[in-house]
Amino acid sequence: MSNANDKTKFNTKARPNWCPGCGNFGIQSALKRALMELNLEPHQVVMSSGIGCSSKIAHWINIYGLHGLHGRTLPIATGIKLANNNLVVIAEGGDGDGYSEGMNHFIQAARRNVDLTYIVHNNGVFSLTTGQTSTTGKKGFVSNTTPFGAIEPPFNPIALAITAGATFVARTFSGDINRLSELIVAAIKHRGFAFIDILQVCVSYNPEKSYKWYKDRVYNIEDKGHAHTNRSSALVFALADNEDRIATGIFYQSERAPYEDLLPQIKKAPLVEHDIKNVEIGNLMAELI
Amino acid sequence: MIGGFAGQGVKTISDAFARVCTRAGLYVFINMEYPSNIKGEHNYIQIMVSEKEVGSHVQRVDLLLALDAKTINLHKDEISPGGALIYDREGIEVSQIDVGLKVDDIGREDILIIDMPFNKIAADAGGTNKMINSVGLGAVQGLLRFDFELLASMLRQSLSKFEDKIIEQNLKGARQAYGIAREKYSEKFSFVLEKRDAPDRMLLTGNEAVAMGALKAGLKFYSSYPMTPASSVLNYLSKRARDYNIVTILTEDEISAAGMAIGVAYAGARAMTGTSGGGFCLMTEYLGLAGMTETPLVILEGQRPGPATGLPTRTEQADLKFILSAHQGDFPRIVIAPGDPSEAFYITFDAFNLAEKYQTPVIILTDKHIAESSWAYEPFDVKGMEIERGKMLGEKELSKIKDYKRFLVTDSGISPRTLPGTPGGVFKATGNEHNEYGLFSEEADNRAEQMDKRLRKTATLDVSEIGVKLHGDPDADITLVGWGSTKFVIMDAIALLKKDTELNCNFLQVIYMEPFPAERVIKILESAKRTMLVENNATGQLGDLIRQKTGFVIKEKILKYNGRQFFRDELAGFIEKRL
Repeated sequence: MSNANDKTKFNTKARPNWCPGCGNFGIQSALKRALMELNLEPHQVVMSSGIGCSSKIAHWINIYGLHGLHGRTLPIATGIKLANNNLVVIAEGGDGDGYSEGMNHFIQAARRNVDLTYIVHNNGVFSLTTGQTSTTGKKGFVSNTTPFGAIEPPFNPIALAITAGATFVARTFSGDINRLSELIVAAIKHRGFAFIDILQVCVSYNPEKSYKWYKDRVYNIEDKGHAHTNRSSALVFALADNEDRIATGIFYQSERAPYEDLLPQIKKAPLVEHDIKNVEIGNLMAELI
Repeated sequence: MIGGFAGQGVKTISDAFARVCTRAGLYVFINMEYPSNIKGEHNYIQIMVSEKEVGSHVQRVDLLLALDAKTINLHKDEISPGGALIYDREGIEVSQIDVGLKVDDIGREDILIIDMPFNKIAADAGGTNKMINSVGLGAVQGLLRFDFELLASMLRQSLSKFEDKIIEQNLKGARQAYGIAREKYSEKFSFVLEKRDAPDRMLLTGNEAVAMGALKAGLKFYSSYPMTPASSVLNYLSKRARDYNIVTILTEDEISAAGMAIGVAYAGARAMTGTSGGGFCLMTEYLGLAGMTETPLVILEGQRPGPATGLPTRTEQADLKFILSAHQGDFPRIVIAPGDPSEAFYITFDAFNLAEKYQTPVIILTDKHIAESSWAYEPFDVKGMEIERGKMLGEKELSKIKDYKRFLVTDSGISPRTLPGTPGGVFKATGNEHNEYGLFSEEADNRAEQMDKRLRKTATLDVSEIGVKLHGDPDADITLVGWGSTKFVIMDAIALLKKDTELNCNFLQVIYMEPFPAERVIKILESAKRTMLVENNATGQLGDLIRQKTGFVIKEKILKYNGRQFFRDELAGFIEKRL
């Protein structure tokens, strides 16, 4: 059992095998820092991750986790939370996971508003499968599957999250570990579905979008007087993004009762604590007579 | 048989009449034939009533209550000599999709034709044509010289949510129809029903049995996307969710349904998902994830004719091969096929214990015939049904373990698991190959070791007794081999053959498909004088499985795959023809 103040309690023996300079290292630091700041213990946190470089993060943080299937983090995360709403549940994966394979689950999770935190590592490519352009890759991006340049424009996850009903929508980039850590703390504290899109570099397959590239382009919408209770304004900022100007910060946050709060079945105790030893079904059989 | 177009209330009438019978101590079997449609298409329900146990239907109809013209045209020739047809000659309804359809010349001198003016009787009683159901029930009750009060109390109960005036109108209409049928016609009709002394019996479908078995097993979560014939399980459990403190959820798709169930199971509550073949196609990726992460998962697969959309509302048992092999790679799964609602109840209960003991997916394989037909049973005996949760470690045990390994290689292959929230038990489950800690690993030796560990888990599951039933005389002339919902019709066909031809048959029913009870099956087959496969699919899938597992080839096959179950006399006829 770890000492509550032990700063290494979220460290694992296993070391990450990401490329040197990968944006994931920053995200990993920020996440551990956030969990420390929230005074959480390893056994209280569960991560549902997908498939890809980013999803391996589950193995390199000392918390419970299910490193599952590509694009399928959110259903599992939802199940975990509905089974035991005392757990802090984080769903995490890359842009291939979240904005391609798992798009439908993303939209439904925003609508459903189960209390969990959804972190997407967004680098515009499928890294682990060696460099295909992703749905957030820029138009014209040349990759081994788009040798003549990608035809479709990039997809806008922030705008989609806002319109799908997500109650916490934020973005930053992996180089700003302080800000990222703050956002993760805010997201975990938020009661409901909290979504953070994290822009990051892939040094191997999308090196153009480096730390400096992002730093030159991101701006904080809170500095522009945006109030994050203003949903229309949030959408305006989200839709204003282009290759040279990228909005970051908390776009939108609102209060909407988390899905599980509306389930009287778990008001007294989470499902995992219910006694299942002597379920009475005599009345059910009597109904059929 | 009761027939009409969708929306007329065929099911309402059937259920009510069937309940009147079961409450009168009679046995009932209901088979529904309906198309994939909401309003307008033809549907019909066959009800078998007997003082003896009844499990299957016959090809003839003794009493046809026709609510529309098409029913008469389609089914009049199925009425047996001496049978009866009840319909409203002047006011016979015609579906909006059959505009202009006329009742054919019935041309049957040998049946009793009863002109029952449903609409007029309803109007006389002060009601609307919504009352036709009650009027129809009254007519049937009267023709069978069945005590009216049995029907009256049923109607009072089923209409209890309406105001007294409505209830009285319905009773009045029913009584009038009853009077006409009883006084004018019943003497000419040879069938009579009367109340018998009998224990209380439930009228229940396979889906209800599965739902009850799951609740008894401590189900806490059910996720599903609607797909016939599994959909009603979600309805049933949702209605009772607050009484039983379970969470039910209609997910965005079947992928999510399976995923949520796995998440719940991983976190430590009992979870289940349900679907049909097409939905299971979408769940196959998660199936293997459950196998690889060693997460208990119970899945209900209610088969229907495929491939693709197939016949959504009909029956077939052609997903066996698919269920046994779905997903890439090797991992242990348990597949169980109940033959009737009673087996479905107990098997569903067992499925949860098995899933947690072996930490692997368990699939309950039913079909439309079991899921949606109704049979009469005394309330199930629930004594001795113990919840067994397998090897789990809590905080106390973990404090004694320095170095917890979730996927510890053990002799049995089963590794004690921990649940999120438990101090000292942190681990990762992963779909990647992994080492004993759950960290993904590409080590060659580790891979082979973990594969062996997973595969030997279910080796300790002995299905020699529970996996097979031999019904009848071990020394029979013919051994019929089958599974799932052909159970009762095979047994009834055997009884018919015994009665009519003195032929002595027995029935080898396979219940556990995986692990497969090979030893016992081969023993029975090798000592059988003659074997015949009876299945509802085009290729004899159980026959192929038997061959794969035992080498034994069943050469003779009786296969019905037109979307309907066998009739007992039809099956007996097929068997006889082979002699």
